[in-house]
Amino acid sequence: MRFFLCLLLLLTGCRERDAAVPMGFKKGEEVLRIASQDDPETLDPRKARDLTSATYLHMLFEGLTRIDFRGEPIPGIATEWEVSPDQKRYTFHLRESKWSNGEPLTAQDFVRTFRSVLNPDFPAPNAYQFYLIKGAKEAKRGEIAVEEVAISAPDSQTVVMELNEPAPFFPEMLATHFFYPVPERFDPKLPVGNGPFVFFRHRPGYEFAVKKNSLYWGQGDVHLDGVAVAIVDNQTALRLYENRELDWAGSPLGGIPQEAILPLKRKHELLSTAGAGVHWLRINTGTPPLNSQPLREALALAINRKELVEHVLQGNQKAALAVVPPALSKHPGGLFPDGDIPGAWEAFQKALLEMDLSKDDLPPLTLIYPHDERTHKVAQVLQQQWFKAIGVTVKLQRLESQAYLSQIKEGSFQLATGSWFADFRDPINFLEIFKSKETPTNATRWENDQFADLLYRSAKESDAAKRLALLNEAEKLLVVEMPVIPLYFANYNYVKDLTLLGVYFSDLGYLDFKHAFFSD
Amino acid sequence: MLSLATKLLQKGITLFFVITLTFFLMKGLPGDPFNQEQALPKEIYTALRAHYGLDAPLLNQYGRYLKQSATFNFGPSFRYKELTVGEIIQERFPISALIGLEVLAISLAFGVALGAWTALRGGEWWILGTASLSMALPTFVLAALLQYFLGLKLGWFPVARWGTFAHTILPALALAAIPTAFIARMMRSSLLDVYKQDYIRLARVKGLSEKAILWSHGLRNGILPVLNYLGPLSANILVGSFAVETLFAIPGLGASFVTSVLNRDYTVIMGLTIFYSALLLLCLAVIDCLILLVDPRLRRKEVAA
Repeated sequence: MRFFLCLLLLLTGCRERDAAVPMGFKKGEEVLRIASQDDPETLDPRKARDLTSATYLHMLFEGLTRIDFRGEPIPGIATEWEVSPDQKRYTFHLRESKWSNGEPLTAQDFVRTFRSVLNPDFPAPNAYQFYLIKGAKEAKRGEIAVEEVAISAPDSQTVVMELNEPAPFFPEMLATHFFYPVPERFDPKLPVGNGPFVFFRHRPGYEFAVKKNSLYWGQGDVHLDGVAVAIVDNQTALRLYENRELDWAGSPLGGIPQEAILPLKRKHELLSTAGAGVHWLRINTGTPPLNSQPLREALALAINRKELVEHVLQGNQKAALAVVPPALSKHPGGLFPDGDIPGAWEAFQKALLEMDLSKDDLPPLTLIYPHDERTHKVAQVLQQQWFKAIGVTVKLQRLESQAYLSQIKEGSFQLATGSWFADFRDPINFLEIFKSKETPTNATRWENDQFADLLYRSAKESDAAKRLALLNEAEKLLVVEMPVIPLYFANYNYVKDLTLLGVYFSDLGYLDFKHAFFSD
Repeated sequence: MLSLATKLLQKGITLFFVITLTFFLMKGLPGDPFNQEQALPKEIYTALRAHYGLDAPLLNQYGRYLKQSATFNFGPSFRYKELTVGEIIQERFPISALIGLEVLAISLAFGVALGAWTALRGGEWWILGTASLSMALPTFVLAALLQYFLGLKLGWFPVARWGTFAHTILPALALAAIPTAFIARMMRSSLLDVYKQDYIRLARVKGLSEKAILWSHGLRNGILPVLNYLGPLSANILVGSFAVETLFAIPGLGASFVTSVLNRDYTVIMGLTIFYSALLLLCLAVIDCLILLVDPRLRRKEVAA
């Protein structure tokens, strides 16, 4: 089947955009047609959890700030903001703007939305993103009233927020969908928003469409008349793209099937954007033999990531020799060598000595991973590489994805594949998970006082450069200790019509269509 | 009349067992709707579970599901938070059912005709060969082939998606292949069997024309096994197919069966299970009636009992 689909892809020639507009749009209107693997989970930004929803919500809403094409925060609904000298108090000045139903958008809308997220009874999975705001965590835990959280609106055009610690990434964080405002009476079935586009229709499993929002403050910059998201499987999306019924297929709303990557590359159609994410192996450091640091180091050094990326994944990914992706870090090279077999041997011998075991007494290790084609290939390559390099036997256990997640959660695993993506562009995203073994996402049972101390000091540091240096230090410690083994940095693969320009593909994994246009 | 009541009661008991079994199997699966790579802080996780009533003791949850099943009101999906289970079925079932009816029509018409043809005219090896081949070819491969050649290359039909009658043709053809072949083979062997019976010889002796024999004796008896097979088949076909609906991007119900389990979307799993079981029981009941209609012997037995 796989071979067969591959063949079909090879047979197909090049394409030309056909300008047929989707149903409900007028002839001649510029409508971007894009494929998505799934419906939005919800159109209520407070409840959305998956990355797909972020792109959907980005069309309909705008926060206090937005992100420009360089990834830097620029004015959104706030035209300007001031920071107090201690870097903890932010004052945002809002522009005069309207909701898509014509009602004025005020500072109170922001305050009310943020408070609703922090209400202990409100099902907001992302409420923890607010925890850097003073009192937010306590409010969510029901210890104080939401009105006591340091979020206020002194007048209708000003929002003031106070943080626990300095956070230079705060303006950038406010551009994410976690911090979008919603109107007072909000119906997520017919969402009223404040973004460049306004909700048009949603047929679950079939299509999601938006139209240009004529009440948006920056509507002069919006060139598209609409966006139509076709909800189709990845394989079918490519077919429809070949048939010119779609302008964009693949990441981030879907993906390019692994077997299609090479044929598309040969046709020079495959495009990629580096993602702010890392694919890694989690190690349960709580039980022997993997509580041994030299053994973890040996496993990490024995992996040949270059081979993995070039011959198995083939989607222009970069080998990860650090935890923080290059776009967010100051160390363009790596923090440890790739495929260092002598080094791996040395570490392995040290581990055996330490554990007082001979090589044959080392019980086989088990690697668990979710049931998908790409991870399956990766796991097989790792198994081979480990065996070849240091003679360690690793058993593979392929699990249904929920079963895999719950084994990680319960800590009943030795090695597990995994990945981590940034919510905003700061190294802290990748480091704070390991601050304590109580952090739910950590799951490695690893914690380290020195590491926690570095993070603690970085949080108190108001000088941005010094803060980054501390974080860098922490990262170096992490790759020495190796509770996670970095494999490769995330990369988004997609195909798009060549006449479509101006779409901002964030390395955080969402698309911004505000400035998109067709060049014909 | 009494027997009808017993039958209904039987179906009700079956449904109750299905609901119970599904509930406990579903709860026995590892994971829950809020498990993701990015694990949630404890207080948020517990708040979410409480909000959706998953913190209650298992038996209480079971009781609630029984109540919901009785009224068929399962509330919103855990994953697609703005959609209720009822809405999902209402929106998606008619689409799958439409394709399903086309599939049933095609496979019955062609299956019976081909079966009868090969039984009476004898050994058209290529018809049986094609039938066997199409049974061996998985539906999703056939669907991909049809999509590629008739859709993308020749452009006779839409490549995928939904909207017009033309969109239904390729999926219906792909889905009809296996049942058609199956019905044809069943029809053939059953007709061959029937034609060996004494009553056919008697009919010939009476001087009935071959045509009359085929219509009033041959087909009527020969079709009985096909009808029996049609009950479970129609329930399966009407709710849609995961592979074909995914490939052709059809917003039908088929894909929901698989994705709801993968997502641990508890309310949708329960709703769909009950919907499917009820539909299956309904189809079986309809087929029972049809068989009574076709086969007078059964009617007589019914009266005697």
